[in-house]
Amino acid sequence: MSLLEVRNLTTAFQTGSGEIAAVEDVAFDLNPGEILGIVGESGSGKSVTALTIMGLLPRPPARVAAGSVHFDGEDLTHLSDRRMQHIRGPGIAMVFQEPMTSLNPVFTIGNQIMETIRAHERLPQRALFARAVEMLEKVGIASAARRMADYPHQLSGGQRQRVMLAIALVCRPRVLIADEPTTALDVTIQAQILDLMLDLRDEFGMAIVLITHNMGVIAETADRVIVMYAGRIVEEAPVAALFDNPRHPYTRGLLECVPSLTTERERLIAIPGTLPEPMRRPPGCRFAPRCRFAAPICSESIPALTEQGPGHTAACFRIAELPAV
Amino acid sequence: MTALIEAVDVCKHYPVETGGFLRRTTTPLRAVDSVSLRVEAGETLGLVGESGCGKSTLGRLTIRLLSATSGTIRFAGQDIGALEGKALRAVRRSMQIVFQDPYGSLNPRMTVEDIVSEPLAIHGEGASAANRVADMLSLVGLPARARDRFPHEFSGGQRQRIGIARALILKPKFVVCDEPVSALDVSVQAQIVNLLQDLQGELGLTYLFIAHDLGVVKHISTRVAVMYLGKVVEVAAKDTLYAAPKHPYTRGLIASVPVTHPSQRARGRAERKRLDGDIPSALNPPSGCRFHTRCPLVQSICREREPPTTEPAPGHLVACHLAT
Repeated sequence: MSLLEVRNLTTAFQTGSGEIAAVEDVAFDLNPGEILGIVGESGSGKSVTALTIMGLLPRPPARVAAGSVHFDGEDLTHLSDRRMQHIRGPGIAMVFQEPMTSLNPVFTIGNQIMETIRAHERLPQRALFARAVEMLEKVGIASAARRMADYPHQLSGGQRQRVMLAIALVCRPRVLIADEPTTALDVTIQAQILDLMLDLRDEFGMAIVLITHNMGVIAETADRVIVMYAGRIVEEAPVAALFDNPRHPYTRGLLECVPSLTTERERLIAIPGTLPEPMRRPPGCRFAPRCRFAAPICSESIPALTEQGPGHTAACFRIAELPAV
Repeated sequence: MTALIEAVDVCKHYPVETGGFLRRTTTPLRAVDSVSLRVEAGETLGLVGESGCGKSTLGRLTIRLLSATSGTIRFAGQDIGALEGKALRAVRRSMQIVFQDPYGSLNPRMTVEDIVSEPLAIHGEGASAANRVADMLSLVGLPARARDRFPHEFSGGQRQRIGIARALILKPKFVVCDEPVSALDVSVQAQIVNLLQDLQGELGLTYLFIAHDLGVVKHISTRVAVMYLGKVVEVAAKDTLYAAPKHPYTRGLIASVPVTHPSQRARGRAERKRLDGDIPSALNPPSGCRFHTRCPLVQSICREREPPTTEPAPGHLVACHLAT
């Protein structure tokens, strides 16, 4: 039984030049305790998907044009703001990429953690304080009781992201959505935060949706992976299958184009062209103009996701013609 | 090999006001602290380190976008710190920079032609601009019709091509690439890295390539220098540095890079000698070896004495008491 069921989700934005679908026909399940990676570049719709689930997009201009998000038997896309506030926190919590802009600069971090608890539970001040300190210790902030009085600017980037995790996890959510949680951080701090997230998952047993553009972060953490391109899911697979046998040309391109510490190449294998802007998405397969395997059919209609193996689907007309990996 | 750029004991200190309202004092922030480094003609020297380590400051010092507080920087044997006026302008045309942010570094009110030809006008070669801009645009892979457009009409990758065209139009010898791909989408980064390599071959350029992405640096560099808190702690040929790093900081940095395949994960976590804590403040750097607060191998000498730079193997420089 999955914890979160997203079905045929389409999120559209009203703009000066008409309505644009940022996310189209997105569907996936999230199981208890699992880490689902969502990979994509700018404009892929990965963050809009997360914000739609959280009900955090301003309406208008945003609108859920089709589909549903079921959590605990309730369709989140139809909940009142009041009811949604009870889901955020103990049900689903989120951490963002920019820990500096997501923390309020004029309140202490202790205040911000306690405020989150207070929104969901009535506790005496002393118990509130103790809960917040305990949470700060869990996310690895040294001398936590003293740091409660610190303001965000007194913390380093890594510490701020730890505080963000503390705020997200203090209500013991069953789902944590982490949107590029380590992108703004140095590689040494990224490793610390990823290890911390894995430890907290083991301790609290929550499921995590980890949104990233970094295949290395996926390789380190995810159980299952969704690859998005220009608003649509192009491939979904268990993590080992995705790295061993990527089926979609875009997934292959993403895995090839980033130099790792183990690759030895004279030249990098680049994906030609650029990402399409949401207003100028090509007809048919969105990746066709950049795809070295594209055929005429690719620009005529949108390929559906087809089964490639256990839990492995990909949306490409040319899969049968692709060379072996 | 001859050094195109040679930095000797270079420091860049910024005065910062500290202390309370009543006890205000000025403390020097040691962004770059007594660094010596050579960039050989024709090579790409990679420069890596965490944010705040001083790598961008050092890059700007090498082309005198910033003036050093002390120390000497020589370009082709000439002390650029001593130059002024015409002589400085003459040497500057040989040293250019490509910036990280292709959005903030291009003037939004100028056309691509104006942006790319501006260095020619500054150096009194405006007359030949039209042809040279056309050649430059085609060299960096932009269509000829791009010249009349404005930066906002281009994607991040194309904007970075404009920035590269502007940097190269004066036919410089030395180019500082300051995080040139880190603001770009991953599928576009490889195009720009390939372009920079192609241009280096065609135009005989020497690069100082500053980046925090250790994979990109390994791919493009001939040698790599590692900075920590204003100091260069290790320099070696690329393959040596990645295969046999000697400084514990370099080891920690490499161990922090995510694995490339999920099957390496369990091993990665067990083997990962991850670095705890954050980079300390450059206002109040630790005594002795600056890395001692995070070093897994720390000894008492590390807290007391700053380690000298030694050369345990030819061309492999390391500043650590324990490196042999």
